[in-house]
Amino acid sequence: MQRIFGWEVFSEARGKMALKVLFLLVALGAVAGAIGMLASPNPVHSALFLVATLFCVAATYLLLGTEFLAIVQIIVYAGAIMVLFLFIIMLLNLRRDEFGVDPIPSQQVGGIMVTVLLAIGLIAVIGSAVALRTFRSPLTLTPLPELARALFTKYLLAFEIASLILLIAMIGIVVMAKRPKEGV
Amino acid sequence: MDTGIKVAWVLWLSAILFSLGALGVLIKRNSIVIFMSIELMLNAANMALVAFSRMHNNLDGQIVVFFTMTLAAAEVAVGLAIIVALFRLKHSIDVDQASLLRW
Repeated sequence: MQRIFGWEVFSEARGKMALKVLFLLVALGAVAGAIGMLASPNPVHSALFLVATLFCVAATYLLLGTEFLAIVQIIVYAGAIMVLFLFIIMLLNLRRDEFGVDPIPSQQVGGIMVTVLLAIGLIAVIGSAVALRTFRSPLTLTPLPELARALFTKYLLAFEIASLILLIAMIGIVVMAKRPKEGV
Repeated sequence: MDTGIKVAWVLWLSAILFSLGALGVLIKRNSIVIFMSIELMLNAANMALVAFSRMHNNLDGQIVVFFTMTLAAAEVAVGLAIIVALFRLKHSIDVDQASLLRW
């Protein structure tokens, strides 16, 4: 009996194949969601496609064995951030002409060309010998106590500053969202 | 014992998602969708950080991702408040309408 990420698999080859197929499916889902987000003219559909992509990214984190980040990804991104997006879209309740006009075709072609160049450049940079390694599987998932210990000792200052930034953001939103006084 | 998933695959996925996010910023006019594309780019960068963190068996990368997510939450809240303020001013969320600072 072999173990991959603490799961018992009957044979190493089959376990690896299953993980590869899962990763491929999740990657295709993420890319399809991102393309759907860009292709759909309705912002609500865009937001829902982005939720699908974010779930696929969370699934990738699980396949990499970082289960804490996968859970945080779902709670913070899919749970809080995308709900905020959908809430604002519905709050503004835009008519078709307020969404923004269709992009100029030449701008679209230029954007796609720049993006293809960017993707080719990034992928070419990645194709080095180091990156062709496979992930070693620990017998268990990433140990959460170690993560917590690092967060509250080595990164304690960063943690406190992050809380301060959230407080500042909260105050800033309240100030910005208040209706301006009459006659000012 | 390895998982069979190559580091490069995760990095390629991250590169493709980042490029799609950049495409959204370049071709879209709706500021909310542009903002979603920025979120996608942040996620792609996070994914690369997680991949490198797992490759080196080092937890620091994962902690950086955790802080990125925290800051993304703050950033989204402030950005959406700016979009709402822009909508009150211009009655449109088309980014071409927000040209007050152009000259």
